[in-house]
Amino acid sequence: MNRSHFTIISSVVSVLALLTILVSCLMPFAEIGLNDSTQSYPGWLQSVAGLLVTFYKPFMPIGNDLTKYLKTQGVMTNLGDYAYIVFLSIAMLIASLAIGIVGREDATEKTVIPEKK
Amino acid sequence: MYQEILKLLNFGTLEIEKIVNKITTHKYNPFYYHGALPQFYLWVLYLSGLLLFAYYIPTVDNAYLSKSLVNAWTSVDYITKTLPFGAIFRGMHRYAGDAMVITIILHMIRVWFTDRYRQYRWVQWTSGILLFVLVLFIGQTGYYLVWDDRSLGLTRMTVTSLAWLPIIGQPLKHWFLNGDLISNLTMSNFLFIHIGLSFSLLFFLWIHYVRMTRPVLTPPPAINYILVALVLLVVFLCPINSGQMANLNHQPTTFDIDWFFLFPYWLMAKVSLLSYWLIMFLGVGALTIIPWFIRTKPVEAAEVVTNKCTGCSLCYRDCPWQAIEMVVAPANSRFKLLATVKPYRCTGCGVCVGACAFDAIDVPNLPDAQVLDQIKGLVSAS
Amino acid sequence: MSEKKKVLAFMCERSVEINETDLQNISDVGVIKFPCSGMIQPLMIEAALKAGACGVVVTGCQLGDCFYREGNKLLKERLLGERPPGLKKTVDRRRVLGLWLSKLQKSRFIDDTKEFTNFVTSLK
Repeated sequence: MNRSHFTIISSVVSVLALLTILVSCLMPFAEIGLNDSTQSYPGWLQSVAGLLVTFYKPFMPIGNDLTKYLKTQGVMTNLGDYAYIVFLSIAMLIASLAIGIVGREDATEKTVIPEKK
Repeated sequence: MYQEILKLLNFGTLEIEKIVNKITTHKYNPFYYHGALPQFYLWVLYLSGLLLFAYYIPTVDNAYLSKSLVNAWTSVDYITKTLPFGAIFRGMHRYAGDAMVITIILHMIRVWFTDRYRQYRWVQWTSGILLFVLVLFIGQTGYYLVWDDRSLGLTRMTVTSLAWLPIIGQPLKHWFLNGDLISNLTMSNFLFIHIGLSFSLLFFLWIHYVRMTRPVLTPPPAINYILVALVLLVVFLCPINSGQMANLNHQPTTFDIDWFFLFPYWLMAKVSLLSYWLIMFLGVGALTIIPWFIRTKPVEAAEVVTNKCTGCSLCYRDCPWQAIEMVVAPANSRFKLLATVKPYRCTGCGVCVGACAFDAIDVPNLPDAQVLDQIKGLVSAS
Repeated sequence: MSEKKKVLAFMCERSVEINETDLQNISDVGVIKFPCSGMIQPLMIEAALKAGACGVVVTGCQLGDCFYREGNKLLKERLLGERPPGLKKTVDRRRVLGLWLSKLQKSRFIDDTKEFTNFVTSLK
């Protein structure tokens, strides 16, 4: 395998890994309802709550969409749990893609036996 | 004729797998883990079921003499509406069940199309049919447990169909309801059937696997993640809502059908009970005897060359069919052990020949000596 | 059977299917069919090389898809020396090639075998 091929793969994998981490960070945020209310944050998080809200702000429209969809499906309570698993499953899908890309490297249709040293 | 169709289907399967291989490579091709997929969903079901079991109360009317109504329906309602992630686990339990049925059917179709279900595989096929029927029944009992309108309807339909059967009908009905009427005892019986039979699956799975060395039980992690993620996405897309609480004085007339588990009830509503039971028994019976439809010449089992075998157990370890047993060598032998072939398990694949470093085991179709002759013939032909 | 074959292909009968015209196409290659690639002994590969073959191509089904469950996997491990019995130390590793192809990958088989034949015959 040549070097450029390897670089492409490792960069794709690292992008996917970063995406997984990003989506995983959205999970706790999803659980409290994807909104800017900071009431349900634990005490030790209150000091950085403002920072977190700015980080999460771009994702709030998603939260609204999810909530709207769940309401049409008749879910009235624990909406956050559903939003949580959406991000969890997306994170798992991206992660499996990354693992798959790494793992397929040693998949083979051809076995050349290495020479003995 | 049948053989020709089967050959076409086999090519179709190979063609699909070739395309999938282009995308996933053989390492992540779900078709190569077709048997492990339902097994994985079984673990998902056990875990999610354990969590539901912790909060489930198997009664029809008020349990524990509490002031507010506590029964099966309200406990499920509590799990769904109040318990953190309760709704998620309930959803996972239901959709993993559906997914298990889908993957079992996929597994069945693949072994059928690739001709891997008959001859030496008949134990796997018949135990597989039994497992499939059990899984369907366990899934149906799961639907009774929720104790909404639909559960009541299903319970009554089951009772009618069981009671119709001659001779064993009444005892079966009595067993099913745990009495003559729907009562608290009925619910605890349902719960016992649901959980007890689920664990009996493990016993039948043991029979399913017993003739295979190193059965493939788990797909690679990347596939597992996808399997769980798919279930979670469905849990989100189709959240589960219970129907009305069952009312024993009221007969539910229509309800939604889960096509993966409840199709027998759809059939029951359409045809007479006689035709229903006939279709059920004949259907399962036909599936069970499929392996014996094709007549092929019996396998010629591998044979051990007794005076060459050193008892090294390499073939015993490698045989994918558990067809070789190491026995104590006869007294005049220089070695302690001797390999013996169980002919009724042998597939004639020759893996043991490949494992033997002493030419001490032979497949009658193609003995070692013949292979060596062919090699010499091809290389030194003039 | 008139001419001497330079390369032998040990093939599982359930993997690539080779017919007469294909054989003429790769005239340097002699084919021996096995019920499963798992039946191929390292001893047979050694025998072929000793008898004067320049190389041996071993062909099984796609890994994970063995009809007899794990023949191709076991053979692959034997070739790589991860499972006994393995190849003898004296065997020239370069002259052995494993191909794991499904029934439908005939062209891939022919291409790879041709390339391998050219490579092996160029070895001294």
